[in-house]
Amino acid sequence: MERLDSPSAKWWQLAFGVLCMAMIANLQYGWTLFVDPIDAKFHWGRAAIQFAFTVFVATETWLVPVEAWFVDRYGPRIVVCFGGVMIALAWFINSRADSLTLLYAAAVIGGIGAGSVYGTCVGNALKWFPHRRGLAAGATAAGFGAGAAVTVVPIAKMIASSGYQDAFLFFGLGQGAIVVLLSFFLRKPSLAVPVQRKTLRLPQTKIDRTPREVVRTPVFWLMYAIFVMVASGGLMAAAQIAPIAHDFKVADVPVSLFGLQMAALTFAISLDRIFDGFGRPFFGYVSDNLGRENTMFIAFSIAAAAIILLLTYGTHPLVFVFSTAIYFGVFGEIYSLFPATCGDTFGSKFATTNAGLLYTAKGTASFLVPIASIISATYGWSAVFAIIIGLNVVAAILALFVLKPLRTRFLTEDEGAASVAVRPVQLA
Amino acid sequence: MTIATTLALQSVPFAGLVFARSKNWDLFAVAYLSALGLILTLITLVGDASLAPADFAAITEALTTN
Repeated sequence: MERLDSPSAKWWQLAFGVLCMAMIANLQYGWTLFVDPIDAKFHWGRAAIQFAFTVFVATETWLVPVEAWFVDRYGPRIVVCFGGVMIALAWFINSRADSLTLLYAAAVIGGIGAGSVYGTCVGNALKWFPHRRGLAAGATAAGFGAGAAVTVVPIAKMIASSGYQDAFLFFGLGQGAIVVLLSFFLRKPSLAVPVQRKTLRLPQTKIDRTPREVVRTPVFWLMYAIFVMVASGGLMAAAQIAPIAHDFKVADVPVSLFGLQMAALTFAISLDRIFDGFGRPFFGYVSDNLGRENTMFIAFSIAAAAIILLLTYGTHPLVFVFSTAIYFGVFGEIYSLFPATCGDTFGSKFATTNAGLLYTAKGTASFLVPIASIISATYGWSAVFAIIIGLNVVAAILALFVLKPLRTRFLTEDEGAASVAVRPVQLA
Repeated sequence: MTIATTLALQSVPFAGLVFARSKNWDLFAVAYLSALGLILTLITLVGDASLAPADFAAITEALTTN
């Protein structure tokens, strides 16, 4: 008789995944704290040091499918353990690095480690919560931001008191050790968790599709294209927030909100991150109840409206702060909705690899960054924002009027194939 | 940059031939996709008409999303 998991097992697995994500957050969010201290010591120049961060993001993004393949084959434990060792090693090297080559090598190692943990934790959440994939993936992704919020201040204090090298060493080894420890508790479900609740708004496949089958489906590539559109819009918007604030002459205007007073641009950036973080589990939860494409349509439409609001009334500091916060609040949900949709459409068995393949859309979106910069330099940021509005409108329309019927048809064909497969063979 | 990108993309049909015959399709597919993505990223960063690495890094850092 196959072992059944206890009802609380999935919540423990989610908690472990969120904690692991919190432990790798600093590799991305904390990097900016180290740049000036490194430059002060070695005088390599900010650009050269920042390039290490680019190397980290690129390796973290593009190697997720490879790492995810190992997860689906060998389980989450060994991959997350490997990831924990790699992130500790990366910051250990950073603490000792006396050349740019070593810094870049550490960035590659850190990217491999972070990608291993990220892809595994999101994929594991999809497998344990087949009927709440949106909330599970969203909570896991939100852990990434929450971890940074907790540890950024201690890191900054340690850099100030003991130097950046001690901070790299202490936090690198500590974070890595915690990830390695948590890895021993991670596992996939004992059985393929059956869908407990069937709703027309949340259709689920009954067939587990391999990556080979997935990349041959138009529905995957449509999801990929929509992901690229929305992700590139976010990249472009993030780069233009400061220029537009200065052009609107609101960047340094003090804004008082929630008992705090800050310059409008600083407030906007801070609020953007908070809204981005909360938006992931929130829209994940909404999509579990309202349907994936319906939620995409709502989110992408709100994103377009937020940018229109920003362009029209953004000269008012409060409008500037809230419109950017709303935009990033609905932008972050792509990191919960798309993995969840991928899991619903292609099944649980290869969910980690399939979601990892879809995640590379973030990397593809980054190829549009140079184009946006050229457009901004030639035509100004208003042209870039017009593109962002267009991308979100098109994405919203595609989600509701193309992806939804396409996915429904695809899943209906799955139902038919699954029922044929279980029909007993009639012997003459 | 155009030539480098073209050369990188020209590997796609050859990869397709390998996939058609390979027994370990999934592993080769994810490895190839990852390698292609990293190479195209490198071309974007250091190609002749590229965005300066510092700008790219600043943008990716400003986004601070995963």
